[in-house]
Amino acid sequence: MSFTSYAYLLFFAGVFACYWIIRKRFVQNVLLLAASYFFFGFVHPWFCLLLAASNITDYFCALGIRRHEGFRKVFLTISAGANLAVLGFFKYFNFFSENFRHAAGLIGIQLDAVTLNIILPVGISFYTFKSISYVVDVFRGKIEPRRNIVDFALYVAFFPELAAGPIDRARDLLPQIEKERRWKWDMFFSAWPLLLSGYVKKMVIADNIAVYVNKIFLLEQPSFFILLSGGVAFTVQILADFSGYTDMARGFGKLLGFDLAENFRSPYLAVSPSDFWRRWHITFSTWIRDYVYIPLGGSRVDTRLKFAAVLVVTLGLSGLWHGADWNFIV
Amino acid sequence: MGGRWVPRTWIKKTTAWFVMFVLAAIGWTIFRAPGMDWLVRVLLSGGMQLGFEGDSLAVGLVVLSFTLIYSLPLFIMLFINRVVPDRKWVHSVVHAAFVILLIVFFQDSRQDFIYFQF
Repeated sequence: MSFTSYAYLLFFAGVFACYWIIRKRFVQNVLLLAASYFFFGFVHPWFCLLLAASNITDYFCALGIRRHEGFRKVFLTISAGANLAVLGFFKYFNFFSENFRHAAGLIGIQLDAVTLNIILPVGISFYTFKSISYVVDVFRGKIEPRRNIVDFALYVAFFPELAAGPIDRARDLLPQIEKERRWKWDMFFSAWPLLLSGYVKKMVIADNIAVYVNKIFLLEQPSFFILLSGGVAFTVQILADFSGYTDMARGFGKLLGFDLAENFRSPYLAVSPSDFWRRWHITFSTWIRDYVYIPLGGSRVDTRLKFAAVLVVTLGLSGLWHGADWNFIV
Repeated sequence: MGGRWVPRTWIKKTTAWFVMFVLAAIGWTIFRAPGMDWLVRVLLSGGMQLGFEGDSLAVGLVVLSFTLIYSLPLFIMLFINRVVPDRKWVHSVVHAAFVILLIVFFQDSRQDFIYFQF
């Protein structure tokens, strides 16, 4: 269910009305959780089982980390392993299978192609990263594991940011889920500009530019100038589309009383690569920094070679997260 | 990630911004390509024309022009948020114009979000 569909607008209107009629925080959270599962399973209801399995596994692993000191690493490994296995299967199975077959062919072993017709659950990359960060933060002692499974599951599945982020951290979003919320008109006045800019970015800018971009990248042999114009057009399209989605997510979040993280800060005004990554898809960049780059040694490694290796791994994983093909990694 | 380099003069700033924009555009071109084999074939094939003439020039210019026209709301948003963040009447005028744009362009789920297209 896309934010730009009538179905979503109807869905949100219903949730919004019921949500603010209800006065009890716990019931509000149950409603939001049910709405999030409905949103997630709208096309394929069985996806909800996948999300529920992830929620339950991570909920108990986080509690296990706190309660069983001697098995902290075991619980962390179970949680991270389960999340990455599910993500790996749904998103990367065909990519790795195909590349494994190619690699085997290079050393003279001929294998049959094994590809599966896998339907990717919406937002799996986003909610998996939220779940992992929660368990890792509990492991690091940065946050307390939550006893209330509804609050935790809502943090992971919160529908405005379920499909394409932002990837809010538990320390930012969980306290908002756990506090009382009452309707104020300020919420509308802060949501309105975000929703408006989001819809304009998506429906006026991105969708219209996409018409040209799609045609150019279907050409068999475009000239350099046409490829250049297509590249520039796509550069604008992807910013308008992705930041438009985030604006809408933040706007819908505000209408429900939540402040979601900012994800884009004029990225094309960046003056260096590091500046760019501080402005583009900020919640993802900081996630990669905190849970991959720094644990690998970051800029504190002792040789340039190790630093280069850390950068290649970090940026390679970052590319792979965006899509299962070599051009994403490059 | 890495050090925090800040250009001090406007020439350095403009040059750095331009270089970064070109790098971003190259990166997104690779990202959007149907596959690495397509990109390698297009770039390395001996038959690739520069295309600064005839139909190719016209097509490229049309695409760039429409990109610029459709991007205008982005520039306007940047302007009102950075240059006149406190002038409410300017924001109201812009919001009214955006509402009109949306009435003109709103259609039920024309294109999926970019993230789901790959």
